[in-house]
Amino acid sequence: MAASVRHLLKPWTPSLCFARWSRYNPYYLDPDPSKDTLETMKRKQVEKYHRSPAAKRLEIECNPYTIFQQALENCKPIIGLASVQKGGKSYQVPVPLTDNRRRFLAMKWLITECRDNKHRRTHMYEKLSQELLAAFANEGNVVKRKHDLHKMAEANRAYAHYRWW
Amino acid sequence: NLRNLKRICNQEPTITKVQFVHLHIQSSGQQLEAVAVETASAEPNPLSVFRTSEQDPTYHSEGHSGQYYMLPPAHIQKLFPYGLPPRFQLQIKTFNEGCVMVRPPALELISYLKRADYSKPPLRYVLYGDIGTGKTMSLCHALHYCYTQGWLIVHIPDAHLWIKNCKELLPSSSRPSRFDQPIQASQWLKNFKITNERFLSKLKTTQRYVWTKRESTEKGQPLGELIDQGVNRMKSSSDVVGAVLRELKLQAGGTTEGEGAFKLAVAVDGVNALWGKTSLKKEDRTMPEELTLIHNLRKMMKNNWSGGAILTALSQTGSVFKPRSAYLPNELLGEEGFDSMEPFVPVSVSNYNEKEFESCYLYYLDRSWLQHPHSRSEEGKKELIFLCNKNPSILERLCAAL
Repeated sequence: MAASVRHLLKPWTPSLCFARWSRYNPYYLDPDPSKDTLETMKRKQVEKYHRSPAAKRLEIECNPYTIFQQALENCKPIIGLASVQKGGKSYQVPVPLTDNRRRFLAMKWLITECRDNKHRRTHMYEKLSQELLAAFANEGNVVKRKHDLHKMAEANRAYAHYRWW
Repeated sequence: NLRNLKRICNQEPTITKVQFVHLHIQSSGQQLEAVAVETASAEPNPLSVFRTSEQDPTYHSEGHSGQYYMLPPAHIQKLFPYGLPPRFQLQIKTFNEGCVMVRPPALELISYLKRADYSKPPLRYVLYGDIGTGKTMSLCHALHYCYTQGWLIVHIPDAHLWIKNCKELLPSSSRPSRFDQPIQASQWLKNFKITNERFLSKLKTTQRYVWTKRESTEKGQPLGELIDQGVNRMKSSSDVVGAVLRELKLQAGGTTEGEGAFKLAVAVDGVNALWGKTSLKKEDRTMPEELTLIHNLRKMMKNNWSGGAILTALSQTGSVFKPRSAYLPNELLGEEGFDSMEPFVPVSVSNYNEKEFESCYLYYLDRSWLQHPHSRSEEGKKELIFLCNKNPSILERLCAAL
């Protein structure tokens, strides 16, 4: 963030010279919030790996980056619902989603799920890591929400013709 | 023929490089095998040049330097329920084993302990070094050696916990101007009991201690009763700690009969806490004049007893009112501390050297801790060296996120 706002805070007269450190200084390094989630996920998986017998070790995925990518894939809905008004009534019409929209929905669901439905006293990175590991195994509330959306879209198949775009 | 010669000459450097690497691995493999022959332990795995199968710190030597040895789980439970750094405890839980690297400062300390004369007053060893270089781990290694030799261990895992963030500060029952910390004292007594079970029934008190009008411990009672008294009655637990330390000091080197003789190892981490300022305050927001636990520990640090050793490590991370750049004994202990600790044997702990870094890297690879594909390449390794400057704790934090 700091590097991008640098141009806003340059000294605007030749006689002006900044004396103090501030967090709008271009050399300020923002703290990285993602490394805690990755670390907790990796710890849980590596612990499972070391405690399992040799036969099961090949199946356990320990790389936090692949787990994250795969979990996000598992959370992305394929088809979404849009509200279309026809003849005074509004219908929920199944509609294809763009790639951006799918990614956005998956991440939004993960974040809201962690904020609302988890125990109050755990840290966000811990909640996120639990949810990501569950999504990697196709379980958990977010994947359930995606399945519910798919079922709704399947139930409203009849209204698919109301879509004109 | 000339062309063939030229081709061979051009090819040679690569062959010698391969040979050189092979010899390098072979030589450390030979070292491993030589050590294995000496100690007659299990067949060494030729792939794991960074591990040693020697689990007894008594037999660790220069040849093992840079290699990891496994702490037996039974020992970890008994000796270190609370003494290891928190990140290392996480690591033990994750990897399902506790492996400590054998490093020169710890080897030095163990060699001094082997050769010291225990009929004279105890020597004070101070481990000092920059933040994150492995002072606590070296202390724990030396303490493991003492435990395997059958010494009685008095281990204060972090003296800083006794001068800050104490929830209860009671005025002492025995002396008017002193202040007690019942929670910390009873916690420490419980841990002391776990570590030194077998000594508790053998040692007897030499004096009658009166706790309140109705409670007292008679002369000649086993030490276990004294400790139970402290654990059950929180109000007098700090005084019990003082009494226990006094008993141990009196009985440490004394008797030469078979039953009674034991050696005492006093290990204090963060010893600079004892002579610094406290951040605790009384209810009317003034500084307490004296704290029982700190007073008793300071008495323990003096060498007016015999038959043991005092191992300490400085620590800047938990200290109050000290700048982050201070790491030398002079700066951290302060004038008062330095004068009371003098004379001491300083042992310096520094960052990893090439071989130790290599060993650490291979260990993480073996335990599948480095998952990012770039970190497993040569360039990734160079990047890691650059980022952490071979500092053990920073390397550990970096690798956790990879």
